Amino acid sequence: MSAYHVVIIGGGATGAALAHDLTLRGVQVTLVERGEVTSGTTGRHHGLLHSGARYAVKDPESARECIQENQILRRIAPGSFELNDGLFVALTDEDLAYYDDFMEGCANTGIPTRTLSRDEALRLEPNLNPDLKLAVQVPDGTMDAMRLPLRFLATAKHNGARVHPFHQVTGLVFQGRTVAGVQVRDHRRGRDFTIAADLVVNAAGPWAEHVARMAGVDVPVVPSPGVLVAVRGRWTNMVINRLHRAGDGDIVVPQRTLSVIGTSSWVVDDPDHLDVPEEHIRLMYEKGAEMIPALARAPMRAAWAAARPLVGSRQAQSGRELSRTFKVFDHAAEGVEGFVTIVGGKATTARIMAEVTADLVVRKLGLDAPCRTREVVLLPHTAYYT
Amino acid sequence: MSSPSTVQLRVFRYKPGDPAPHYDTFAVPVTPRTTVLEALQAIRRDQDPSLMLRHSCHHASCGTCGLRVDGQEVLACVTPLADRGPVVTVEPLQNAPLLGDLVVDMGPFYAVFTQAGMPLVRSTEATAASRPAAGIERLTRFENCLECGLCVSTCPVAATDPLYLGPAAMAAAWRVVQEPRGQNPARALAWVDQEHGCWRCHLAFECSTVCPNDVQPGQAIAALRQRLALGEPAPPGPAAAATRPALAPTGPARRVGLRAWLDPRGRDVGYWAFVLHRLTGLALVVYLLLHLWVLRLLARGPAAWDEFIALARSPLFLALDGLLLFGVLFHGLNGVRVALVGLGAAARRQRGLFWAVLLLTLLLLAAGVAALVAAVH
Repeated sequence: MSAYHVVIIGGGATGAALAHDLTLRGVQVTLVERGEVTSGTTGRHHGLLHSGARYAVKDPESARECIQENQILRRIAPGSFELNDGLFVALTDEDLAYYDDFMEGCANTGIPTRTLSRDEALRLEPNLNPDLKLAVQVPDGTMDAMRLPLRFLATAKHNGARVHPFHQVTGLVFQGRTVAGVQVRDHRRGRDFTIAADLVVNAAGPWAEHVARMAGVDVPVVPSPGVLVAVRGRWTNMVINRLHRAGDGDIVVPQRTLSVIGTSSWVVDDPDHLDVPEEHIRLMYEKGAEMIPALARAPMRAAWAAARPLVGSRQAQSGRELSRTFKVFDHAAEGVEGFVTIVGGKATTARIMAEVTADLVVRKLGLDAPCRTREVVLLPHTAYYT
Repeated sequence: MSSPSTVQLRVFRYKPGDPAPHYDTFAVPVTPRTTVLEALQAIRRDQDPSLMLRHSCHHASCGTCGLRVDGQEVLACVTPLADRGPVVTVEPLQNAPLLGDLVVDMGPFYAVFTQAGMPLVRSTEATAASRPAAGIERLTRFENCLECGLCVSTCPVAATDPLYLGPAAMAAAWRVVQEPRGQNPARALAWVDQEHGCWRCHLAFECSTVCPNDVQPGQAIAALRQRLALGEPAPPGPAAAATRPALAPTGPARRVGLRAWLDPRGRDVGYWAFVLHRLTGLALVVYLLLHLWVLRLLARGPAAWDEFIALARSPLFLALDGLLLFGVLFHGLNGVRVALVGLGAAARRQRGLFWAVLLLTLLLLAAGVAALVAAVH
């Protein structure tokens, strides 16, 4: 273990994967999170292990990241995913017209596909809209939004990382223009103290801008909430997507005994104020039922919103126009040393986000330590607690 | 959506070092859709950032936000706040170490849960390769148990026995027996066949009532007993001791203790049966002592006995006789119910059986009281 100590701000998927990555590279890690771990965007995501097909046409960079990570995660986190695959279903002639672009995009980004006739698709998933024209099978999957990041954290903890939930960062410690630690408030013991660090990573997701401001720098992150609706009943076993340009309410993910319909997309200033507009709930029902008619009558279990931390201009209208890829910022470019921000991405790509961030971190610390997270199999989530 | 009304949320507060827990009351605006979780988040955001709570998925899939609302174990994310009256009390789960405010340490829960040997995710069966026409029942799923701990919090036995394996872990053990998937069912059976295992359960069934995902741990425990009592004898496994891996204490344990055995408030009929069974049992013991004392009068000769018989015909004494008859009938009939339910034969009908026991008790009681009154006059 090197003498270097890195503090990670944010206990979501990104911070968890980064804690794991840096610990494996021999760096001492302390992760602080203002609430319970995975209580921000991470826990609330759709529960979809992306194949990347959703982004294959418009956002090929993100699509490529997804399919590569999809394959790596299945290897390092066995048991965390249902190997249920996904279907993209074409319901209209307009959807059919998108088929060629879709297949070309998948081929270009390395996403395996299998085209199913209407009858084949209905045999696999009898609850699909019988008017469907065709379907394309891709390696999507169901994941547990909380338990995969817990596995990163569990493995990091058992390798020596310190994880502190209920510790809120209230400021940064400076030595000149270099960030040398964080000031935290421990909400459990009601005390304030500082944690010294050789480097601080801001992995606060939609709150990244708030944290960056403590360092006097700017991060172009757009908190873009989406509404998700969970209904009772597992109406399909595969993940069902609409075969068209990514839009509202066009993914249904079966999760345990529920089916989760999502999402909508808009932009907000403050990720702590997320409304669940009634009309978005109606829209999810309506759009979901176009693909799986039985959803229209399925009783609702919950409706909630989660804020994506998208990279982009604050002039964004709905967030749909922004890429799902991620970006690492070395704030030395703005004159602040010892401070790195990682934003964007998806739960599916948390590991590669961590790899790229950790590459920068070890380079800045002057260490020569390659990434090992592609091979190391993660501990079960229960190891986080025991 | 109607305009928001205001609810007073009475929230349990405790931080390490506090001499005792206390309650803080917060006023929160509530719409018909506002959940307890959303209200608590709003309190933390707008009124008190030091409020500790756990949450993650917000749709009853992760099991993180379990707590007690007006004494009942729920997932805060799917519990609406409206229509609960002007004051709502929110407390952490019981029978678990308290870390602070509404947060308990799930370490001991998982330490036992993982001993059950259940694979955490069902064995996989790739759809891409298998393409089963009728595949819908055969595909891979996550286990239904959310590991939320509501069942352990509500269990009267977990309240008094710190080594009790608990409903969640035994439900997991039953799944290994039902569907081994490469695990050893004999080991799971040997593990629950012990003093702190399935025989310790008192069949209050509150675990099944509060379970947010219909896992039915109470029925699973009854099924384990049935298998152990009537099934193929399990090959001798390793001696299964009730152990809790040594975890450093993280906070006060907040075990409810014996109070849980006599307090059915906010509970379902299974729990009422459990409490009534204990109360009638205690009463019958007291009666037995009284009975021996009365018999002692016989030794004093006929005069004393006649005096007692006169007393026994008084209305007060007859009322006590009626009460005694109720106790005998309920305890006896519910004993039959417990035997049927406890060995798995009728575990899924325990609610119906309770009402049947109560009805039969009242009918026989009426007949008994009528006969008693007729005999006296």
